Amino acid sequence: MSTTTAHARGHGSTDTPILHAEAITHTFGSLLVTDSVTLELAPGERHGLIGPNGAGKTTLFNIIAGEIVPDSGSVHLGGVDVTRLKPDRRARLGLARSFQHNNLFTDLTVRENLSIAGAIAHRVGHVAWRAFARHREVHASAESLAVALGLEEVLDTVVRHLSYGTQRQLEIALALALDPMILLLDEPTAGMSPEETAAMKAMIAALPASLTLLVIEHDMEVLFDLADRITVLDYGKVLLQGTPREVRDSDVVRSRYLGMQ
Amino acid sequence: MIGRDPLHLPVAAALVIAAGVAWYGGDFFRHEVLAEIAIYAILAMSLDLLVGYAGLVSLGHAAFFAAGAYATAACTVFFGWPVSAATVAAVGCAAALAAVAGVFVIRVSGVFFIMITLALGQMVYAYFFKASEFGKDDGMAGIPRPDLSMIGLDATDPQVFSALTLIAAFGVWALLRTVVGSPFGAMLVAIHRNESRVRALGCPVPRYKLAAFVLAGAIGGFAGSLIAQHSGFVSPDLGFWTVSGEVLIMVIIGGMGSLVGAALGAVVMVLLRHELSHRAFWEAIGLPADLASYWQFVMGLIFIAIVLLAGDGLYGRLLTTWRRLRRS
Repeated sequence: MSTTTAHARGHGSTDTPILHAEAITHTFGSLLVTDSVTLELAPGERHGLIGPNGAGKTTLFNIIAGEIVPDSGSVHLGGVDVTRLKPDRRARLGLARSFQHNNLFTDLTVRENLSIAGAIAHRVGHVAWRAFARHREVHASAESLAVALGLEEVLDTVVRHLSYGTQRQLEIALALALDPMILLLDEPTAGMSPEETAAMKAMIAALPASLTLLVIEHDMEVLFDLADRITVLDYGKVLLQGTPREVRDSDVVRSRYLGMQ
Repeated sequence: MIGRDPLHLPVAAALVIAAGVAWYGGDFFRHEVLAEIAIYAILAMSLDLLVGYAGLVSLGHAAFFAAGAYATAACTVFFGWPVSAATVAAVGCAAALAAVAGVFVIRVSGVFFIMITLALGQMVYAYFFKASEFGKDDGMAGIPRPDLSMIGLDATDPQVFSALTLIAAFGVWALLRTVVGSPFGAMLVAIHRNESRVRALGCPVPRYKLAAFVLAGAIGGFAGSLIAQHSGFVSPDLGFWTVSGEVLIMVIIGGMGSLVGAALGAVVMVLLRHELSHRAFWEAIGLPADLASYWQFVMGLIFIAIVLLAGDGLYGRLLTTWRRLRRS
């Protein structure tokens, strides 16, 4: 968390969180999955979200991304109340996300995947009279993003022929193509080999410092190096919020979470 | 997505040449068939924008066909408008109907979309069937063809009118080709492949679906206007669900997601319908002429064969065969 990046991004002081989820409560039937969770992210902050299976991490993600409207509570993006806004509106306001399970255009090539995201990011998706191929700025930014993320070798490979790890990279590349202010990553290293996990960690660490990150991760080690702050969820409740060190040293987290590993 | 289809232009060119050859020196009957093929090709291509590109399987596309036909009939017969103005009005009416209906139908997807579009089509059919101002189930007659005397042509001449419809079909192909090759077309394909991801990327999906629905409806209305001018009369049957079904079959056997495929489907379907129901055809191939009475049965067999042998439609089959030949 650094005030310099916050000022550089022009989002005012760190007092105004760029992402503010206030007292989010949500139930599925009689199951309370999110219990008055409050989350505040300063601009440029890297925030981790951990908790055992069923702690409500992905539900909280879906509420922040707009896939689920919570029973109560509010979500603000850069001071704008987006609680009732659809996911696509939030994406256009600068909130991008990756998915826990790869959610790609599997029949299309990497280039086409990135160009689709690029068309939306460049606000040209509605253009129906000019050939897509002639929107060079979209294709150029898709290519440079692929180069930046080490996907240039597979640009013209159809996604379903890619290795799982590479698909996982594309999952994040698609979100980055929107040039977001806030990036939500849902278990970016899920199902990866140790080598792939290390590569993914390096990729996330190399993201621009101005980008605000909220990362769900099962692998605590990934978060401890990466995150400025960590929120521990347990049965839908916030168990603890603090720096990685505070979380690691906390007795309650040790017994409830780390002990279970 | 786009640009990975090397056969599109060659097949389109082949269709244009075939149409030209068939048109040149054709008799009265052939020009009637050519006009019918051209009109159904327009209808099938417009439906393919929904089915093949946006992934919206509509079983109510005849609603716009009928709306365009009746709008043309009303404007020419009731108001005495020139056919050109009536055609524009027909496109506008069909687009308006698609816009109003679209707001509701695009909220659902999958099998529910099929059902709700089917209901829409049947509502339009039922309306024209009962509406006394439009002649109830008798329909309306006396719809003129465009007045081309300014350029020294007579559109009542089947040769002239079939040329007109073929040019119209080519124009619609060029228009839709531009649309599917644009960023908008890419978004439709993306919505088809993975709607939730497109939404997460910031695309207002319902607006895109509605735009596609309105465009397809407007072009369907254009086809309807042409069919009214072609036969000179309109009846509620134009909006019956079997017409929607037939056009959907054209798209499926021709090849979903390819405009020339849809046009090819229209060619095959209209030709089969004409040939198989003619006693002379069966005699010519040395089979009992009575088979002509069973033409729909034979057509069913042919469709089953096409679907079994060419899962992606005739055009898809052509594409895979061509790729295999090139690799070997």
